[in-house]
Amino acid sequence: MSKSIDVELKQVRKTFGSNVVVDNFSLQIREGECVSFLGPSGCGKTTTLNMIAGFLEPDSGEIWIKGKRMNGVPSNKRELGMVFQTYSLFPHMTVAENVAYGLKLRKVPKAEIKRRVSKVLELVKLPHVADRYPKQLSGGQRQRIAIARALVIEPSLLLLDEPLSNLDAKLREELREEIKRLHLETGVTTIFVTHDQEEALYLSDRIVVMSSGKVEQIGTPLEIYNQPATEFVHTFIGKSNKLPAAVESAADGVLTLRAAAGFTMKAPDRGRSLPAGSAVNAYVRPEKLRLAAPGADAGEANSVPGRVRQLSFLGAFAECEVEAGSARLTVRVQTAGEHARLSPGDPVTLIWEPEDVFVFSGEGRTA
Amino acid sequence: MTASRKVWRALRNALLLLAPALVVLLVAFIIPMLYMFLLSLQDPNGQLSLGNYLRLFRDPYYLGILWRTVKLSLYTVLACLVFGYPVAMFMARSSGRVRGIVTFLIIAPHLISVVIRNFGWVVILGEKGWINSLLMNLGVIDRPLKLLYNELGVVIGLTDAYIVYMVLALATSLYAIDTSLYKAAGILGASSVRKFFSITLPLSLPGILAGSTLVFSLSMSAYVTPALMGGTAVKMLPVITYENIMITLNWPLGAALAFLLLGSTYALVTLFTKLVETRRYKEVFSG
Amino acid sequence: MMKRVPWLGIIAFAILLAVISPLIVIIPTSLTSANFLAFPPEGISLRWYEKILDRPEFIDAFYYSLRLALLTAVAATVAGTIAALAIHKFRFPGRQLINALLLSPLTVPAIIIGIAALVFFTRIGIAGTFRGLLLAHILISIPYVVRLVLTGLSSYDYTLERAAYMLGASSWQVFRDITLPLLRPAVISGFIFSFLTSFDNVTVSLFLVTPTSTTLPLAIFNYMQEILDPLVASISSVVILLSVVFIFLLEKVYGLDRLFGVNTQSHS
Repeated sequence: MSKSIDVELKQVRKTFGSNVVVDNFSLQIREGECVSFLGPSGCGKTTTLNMIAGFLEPDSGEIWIKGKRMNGVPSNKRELGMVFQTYSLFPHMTVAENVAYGLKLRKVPKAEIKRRVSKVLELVKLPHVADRYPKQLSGGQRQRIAIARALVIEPSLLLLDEPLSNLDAKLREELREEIKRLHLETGVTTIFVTHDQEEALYLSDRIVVMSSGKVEQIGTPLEIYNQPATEFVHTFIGKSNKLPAAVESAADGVLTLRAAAGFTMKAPDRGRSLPAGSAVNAYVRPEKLRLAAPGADAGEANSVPGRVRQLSFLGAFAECEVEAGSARLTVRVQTAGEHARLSPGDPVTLIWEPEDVFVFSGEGRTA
Repeated sequence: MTASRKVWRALRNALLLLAPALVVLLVAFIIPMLYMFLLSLQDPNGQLSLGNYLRLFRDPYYLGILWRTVKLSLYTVLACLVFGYPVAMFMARSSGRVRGIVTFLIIAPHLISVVIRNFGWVVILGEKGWINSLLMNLGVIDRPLKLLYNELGVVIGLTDAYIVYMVLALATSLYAIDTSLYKAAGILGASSVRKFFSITLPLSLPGILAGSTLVFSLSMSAYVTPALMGGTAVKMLPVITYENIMITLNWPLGAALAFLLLGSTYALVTLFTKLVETRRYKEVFSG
Repeated sequence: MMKRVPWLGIIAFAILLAVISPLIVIIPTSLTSANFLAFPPEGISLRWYEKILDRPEFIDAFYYSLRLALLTAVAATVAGTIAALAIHKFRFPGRQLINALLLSPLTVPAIIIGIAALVFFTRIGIAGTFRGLLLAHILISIPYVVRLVLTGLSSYDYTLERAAYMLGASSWQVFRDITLPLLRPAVISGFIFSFLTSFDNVTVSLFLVTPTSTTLPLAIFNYMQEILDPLVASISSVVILLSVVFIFLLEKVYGLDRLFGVNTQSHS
C-alpha cells in the first residue's frame, strides 16, 4: 500500500560561474504528495524547479521522474505540467484553445479534446469562459485557467512557480484554497515554489526550506514549525522572539541559559552540542509566552517580571510588547481575553515552558 | 553538447538567418560608403589626397552654402519647436482617444511622398496660390507676397515635412510628466504660466533635445524640399552635392561634399547634445 | 483655473490644419476646368484626370513604382524578419554589433545613401538598372522591418514559449503556433511600411533611375521642375488616394502611433 516514489533528486548541484546556486539537493517525493520549495529570493528554489522542468541541466546529480532518468531530456518530452508566475496564457488564443493546446499537440481526437477541456474547466470552476480571451479574465481566473491547461494533459508531475505572488492578499487566500482542493481532487504529484511561508504551510504535505542554495530542512509543516533543524528555518517561518544568551550549564538534557537581557531560563538540550560558556541565540514564539499577574508563581516554567510597553490590536488577536530586563518581547494575546485590556506601564509576569525554547548556536544563518 | 559547440551552433544558425539582410547591407551600403570615402580622397590624377576637402574649406562659396544650410536648418528646428510644442501639449492633456486621433493625423501625411506635399505648398504659397489670391481678393495686399523660391519657402516646406518628429519627441517626454506635479505646484501658489516654465518646459528637455537633433539632421540633408521650394536662388548643401554628382559629374568633389555634410551635421548635433546634457541634466534624466 | 475657451485646442488644431493643408488643396485643384493652377479652381471637371491617360510616361512610372514597391516589400520583410529572429533568439558574439549594423541605414541621410549607391553601383555595373534600384530600396526598408519585428519579439512574455514547450511543443511548433501569430501585426506592418517607403521614395532613387525608366514620384518631380499645371494635381490626387488606403490599412493592423514608437495611453 505504500506509494511509489514519483520524483527523485539525487545530489543535484548547479553553479553559475563561481556562484553555487544549488548545492547537494537530494529529495524523494511520493506519488500524490504536494511538496513546496520555500525560501527567500536567491535561495535556489526556482533554479531547482527549472532543472526539474528541464530548462536547465544540473552540473552534477540526477533527476528521476516516474522511474525515468531525466538528465538531458528536453522539457517538451518530460510530460510535466507547469504554471508560471505570470500564468503565460497565449494571448492570441481563446481560453478553450489555450487549454486544448497540449492535447492538440498530442493529436488527441477533437471530440475527446472538447470533452476533456470542458471537464477540466468545470474542475477549476470556470465552465463559462471557454470562448473568452485571456485579457478579458481577471488575475484569479487566469491563474485557474493556467492550472487547467497544465492539468488537462494529465501530467505525471505538476510544477507551480510562485503561482500566487501576482495576486492581492484576498485573492491569494481564495486561490490557495482552490489549489488545495484541486490537489485533493486530482491527486497529482505537485511541486511548488514560494517565498511565502504561510502558503507553504497551508498547501504542503512536506516543505523543503532552502537558503543560499542549501537545503536547511525537509519536513512536514508541523515538523518545520515545531522541530526546526536550523536557526534559519525557525526564523523564516512565523515570528519568534530572539534572546541572545550564554549557556551557564548543560546537565540531564536541560540547558540553563543566561540571557543577555538579564534573566535565566531553561531549555531542552536537543543534542546540538552547546557546552557551557558558548554563545547562543534562544527563541520563543509569541504565542508561547503567557502573561500573568505580577508575582505569579510559574512552577517549573520559565518566568521573568516585565512591564507592558505597547498593545497593538490585530483583529482576532493582539500583540503585546513587554519589556523584560533589557529585552523587548512580543506576546500574542487573544483579543477576547483579559490580557487585551492591559495598558502601557502595567507590570506583568511572563511565563513560558522550557520546551518552547529553541536554542541555536550563535553562528548560524538567520532569515 | 559542450558549451563552445553550442555557441558555434547558435552562430551558424544565426548567420544563416542574417545572411540575406547582411548581404544587402554590405553591397548597397557599407561597401558603397567606403568606396565613396576613397573617392573623396581622389585627386584628378587618381592619387590619394585631401585636395577635395581642402578646396571645400578654402572656397568661400562652399562655406557660404554650408552656412546657409546650417542657418535654414536652425530656423526649421525653431519653427518646429514653436509650432510643434502646442500640438504636443494638447496631446499630453487629452484623453487616449483624442491623442490617438491627433497622432494619426500628424503621422499620416508623412507617409505620402514628399514631392506631392511640396506641390501642395506650391499651390498654396505661389504668386497665384491660395494665400496670395485670398489676401489680394480681400484687399489686404495689392502685390503678391513672395512666399516661394526663397529661404522662407524652404523653411516652411522643411517645417511641414519634419514637424512630425518634433511633435512625437515632445509628446513622448510630455506624457512622462507626472500630472500630480501640477497639483503640487498649484497648491503652493503657482500660476499656469509659472507651471509651464517651472515644470513643463524643463521636464520636456529630453524631448526637445531628441526632436531638435532629429529635425536638424533631416533638414541639413534634405534635397527635395529645398530643390522644389527654394528654386535656383536658395542653394543648400545637398542640392549642390547633387549637382556635382549628376550635372558636373565631378564625383570626387561630390563625394567630399557628401562627407562634409555628414561630418558637419554630426559635429553640430554632438556639440548641441553636449551643451544640453550638463551634469545636472544627466542626474535628473539619468540616461 | 478658468478655461472657458480651449485656446490650446484651437491653436493645436490650427497648426494641424496647416500641416495637412498641402494635401487638402491638391484635390480641389485637380478638379479645375481651367488650364492653369488657380484659386479658387474654376469650374469642376475631370479633364485633368483624363489627361493622365494621355501621358504614358506617368502610367509607366506608376507601374514601375508599383512593381518596385511590391518586390521591395516582400524582400525586405522576409530578410528583415529572419534577421530579427536571429538577433532575438540566438546568443552569439557580436549580437549587439549586428543589431546596430542592421539599423545603421536609418542614421545616414538619404542623399548620402543615394550617392554612395550610385558611385559603387556604377563601378559594378548595376547603376541605372531595376536591380540596382531594388537593392537600394530594400536597403532602406530593412531597418524598419528589423526594428518592428524586434519590438514585437521583445514585447511578448518569453515564458509563453516556455509554457508551450512544457505542454509538449517542439521548437518548430512553438514558432508556428506562438511566435509567428503574435508577430503577425509587426510583420504585416513592416510589409506595408516598406511598400510605402519604396513607393514614396525620391532622394535615393534620384541617383539610380534612368530617363527612360523612372519612379512615379521622380516623374512628378521632373515634370514639376518645368511645368506647373493641374496635371500634377490630378496625378498627385491619385497617389494620395492610393496612399490613404495603405495608411488606413497600416493603422488598422498595427497603429501609426505604435509604428512611430509613441505610446498614446493616457495615464492622467
